[in-house]
Amino acid sequence: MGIVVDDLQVAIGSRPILHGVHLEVRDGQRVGLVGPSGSGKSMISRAIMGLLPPTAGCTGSIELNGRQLVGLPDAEMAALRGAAVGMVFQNPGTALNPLLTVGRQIALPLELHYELTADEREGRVRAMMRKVGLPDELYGRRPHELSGGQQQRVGIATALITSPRLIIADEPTTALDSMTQRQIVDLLVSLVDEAGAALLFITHDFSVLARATRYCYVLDAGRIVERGRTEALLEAPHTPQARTLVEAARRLTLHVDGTGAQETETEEGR
Amino acid sequence: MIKYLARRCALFALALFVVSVVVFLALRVLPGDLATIMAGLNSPPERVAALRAELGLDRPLAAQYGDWIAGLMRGDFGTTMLTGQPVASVVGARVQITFPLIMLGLLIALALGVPLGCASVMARSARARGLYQAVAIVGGAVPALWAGLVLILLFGRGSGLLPILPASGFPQDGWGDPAQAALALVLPAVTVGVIVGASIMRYTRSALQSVASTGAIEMAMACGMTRRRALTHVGLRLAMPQLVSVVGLTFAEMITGVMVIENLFALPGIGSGLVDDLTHRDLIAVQSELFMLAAFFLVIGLLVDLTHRALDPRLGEDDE
Amino acid sequence: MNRPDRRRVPEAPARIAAEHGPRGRLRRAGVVVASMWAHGAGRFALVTLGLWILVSLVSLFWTPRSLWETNGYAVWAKPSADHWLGTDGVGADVFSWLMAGSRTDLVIVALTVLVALAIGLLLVAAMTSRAAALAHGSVVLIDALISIPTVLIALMLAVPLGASVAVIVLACGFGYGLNLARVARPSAMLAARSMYVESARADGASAMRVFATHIVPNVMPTLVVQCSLSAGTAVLAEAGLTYLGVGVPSGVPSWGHSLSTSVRFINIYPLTVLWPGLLVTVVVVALNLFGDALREAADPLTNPRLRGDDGHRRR
Repeated sequence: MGIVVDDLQVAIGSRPILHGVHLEVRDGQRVGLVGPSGSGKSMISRAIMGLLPPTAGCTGSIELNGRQLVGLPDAEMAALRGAAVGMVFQNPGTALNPLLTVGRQIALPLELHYELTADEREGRVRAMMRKVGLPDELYGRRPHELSGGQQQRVGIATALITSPRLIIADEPTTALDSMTQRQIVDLLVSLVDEAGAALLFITHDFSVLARATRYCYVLDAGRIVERGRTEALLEAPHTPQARTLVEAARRLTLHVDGTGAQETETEEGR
Repeated sequence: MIKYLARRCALFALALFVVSVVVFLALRVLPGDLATIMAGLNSPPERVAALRAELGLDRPLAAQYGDWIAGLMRGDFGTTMLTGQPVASVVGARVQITFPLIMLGLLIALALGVPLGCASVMARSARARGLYQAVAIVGGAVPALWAGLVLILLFGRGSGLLPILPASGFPQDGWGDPAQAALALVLPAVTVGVIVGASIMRYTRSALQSVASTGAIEMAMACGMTRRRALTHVGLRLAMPQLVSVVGLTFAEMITGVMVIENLFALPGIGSGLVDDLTHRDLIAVQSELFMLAAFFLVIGLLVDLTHRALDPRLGEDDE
Repeated sequence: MNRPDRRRVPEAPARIAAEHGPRGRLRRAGVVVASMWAHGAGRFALVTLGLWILVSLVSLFWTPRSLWETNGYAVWAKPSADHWLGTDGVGADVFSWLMAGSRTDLVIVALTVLVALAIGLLLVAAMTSRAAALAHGSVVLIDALISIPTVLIALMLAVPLGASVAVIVLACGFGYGLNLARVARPSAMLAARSMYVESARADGASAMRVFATHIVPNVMPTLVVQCSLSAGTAVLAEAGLTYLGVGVPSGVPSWGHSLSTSVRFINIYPLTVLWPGLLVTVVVVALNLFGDALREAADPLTNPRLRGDDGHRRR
């Protein structure tokens, strides 16, 4: 079981974004989806979640645990979102509802999908906050009072509170500084593994990818151009598109944190 | 918040002062003088002189201004020239028509504009979106006068749907017969509502879209809401501060339409009254009425800013 | 929606801005007009506005009937070969009056936009000035006065000026000018605090020069779009104010005049009032669509053709 995307085509208005994408994430797997900006990565995650804008057209097949999602009415999709699939967004600073307290935000999927008493809900939320490393006193705070890293922890807690079988993380670290990036990736990985869930990790950053996934797909201009074990792919990319990406990532890693590509390459062997 | 409140109120007082000076001076820079114009061009000089003395126009400008303001403070807005009644009571009678008209119009505008604005964001097919867009653009481009006329043609005359003719105006005894009075306001209010509704629709649409672009709606959907629920529950609530601001501005835009509509439907409200006083050169009344209206809009502006502030928690404590 | 393009934002405007000089500007204007023409709404706006200007020019030399030719026997005539849109209450030709009215409205709109632009830019200059008192004061002034409706300003002005075109132009110009300044404030502030303004000041450029070369080009796109929306509002304001008796004086042809003269007989001759209302609606729609189309076409983010080679590579 898990998610199987086959021949997925998405167009916004008359502009095609994805041209027949195939990709699978099996239960318990952590799979990466990497590609340059504008390659259509986010469209894949939105298509799976049923979050495509109303102007988008979508054909092909997306099967979640054997159930076809393409063409499913929004009400049925909504029943799956936040219950069977959780999503972590790129920019928690704007995605989190500024009016909800941390507690109410994390409780939202529970409220929408399960009948629980307020006490039960609060208990679960507080337990989840401990798991993602949010201090208890933040329960009543609002997002604008939190740091970027804390906001993303709230995002992760919200995605995981209902223990969905699949987590989609859409560039969850892009808006964070490099120290926080690692913490957040490690947290996400450990929580997903602990729950035995599947993870689709979307990024344009190879160093983050190596930390989070074992298998990955490379997307360029709306097509999957390469797939394989993350480690192997980083060492010897076959296609020119993947090579460009890997080289850019190496240069960036060398320059930015000075730790070098060497380290990221050893890390991925975990 | 307290600091902001104090600053905003100081700004309000300053604006009120500026407006009072501008209104006062606008009436004093007339070619020729106030008394001559008010008395009529062919009046004998004695009458002009008498009027001038009566109105205190022979005194220095600063003293006249001081008198006027002191009067306003005491609630004395002067007397109308035509009937000799106090301006305050005349305006009071007119407000009883204009205020319900504006409120009813605004209510209709909100009832039309907000749902249509939401629907235009939710629309799936390109054709439906185009249609909503067309409604918003054309609705905002129709002159108030013309919309009123078309509605009169549709409902006012003969066809018998609503037997309200512009000539019938407002019942003589005001709100003595509330049903009759309310009926007289329906068509004017619908006219105002349709026109203002189009701009509210546009504002709702763009506010919702700007909220949607932040990802908050996607996040709510990802938690398990349907698109419709996310837009109407989360989107509208997040767009509320923006909407309150634009509704405040719409209020100011609305008044031109309201004046035209009052004239067209022969409703003796503030707008048509002001135009009447202006054509009769009853300038003391005009001066006070202009000031009162301007003050009213400044109050609206103040309320809108405060509400906006209260609705957005991010603006709460940090004073920018 | 255009998420993939986000990373390209900083470079795109820079490349366009690099094309200085009259030739670059002309080429850009050509691209913008062509892009507007490519969409139905933009084409409708361009055609309508073009016709408006053309008809205004023609009306200076020729109208089907003289404005002052009245016929007591052909009052409220139906449309016919003689009178294309019929006649009004004194037997004057409605079509000719509307033609002549279009030039009055064109002049009013042009002047209003100019006045608004002048006031708007003046306020922007004040807001971005380095004299703190002036900068702060102008922001306060705008916030305070923005909630005063245009029609009140018009009525105020009508006291000394009487019914005249000047009342419309000054009242609307003032009101819309405040609005322009408010809309342009974010981009003006951003430009005023930017590195290039800092460095220009460090090089000893005068305040005037900094304003003209750095701030104006940054706020202009916003202002131009807003101006075209204001132009639509001005046409509506002309109709409203003229009806209220403080706009275009009687005897001068204008659309508002045509609309108001037929009002009193609405129940007897509904058809006559149809034409000016339709005309005003169509023109205001065109002006609004013009603003929207211009915003789309003149923004390098939404118009790939302005991005130079970048746009081609992505195809």
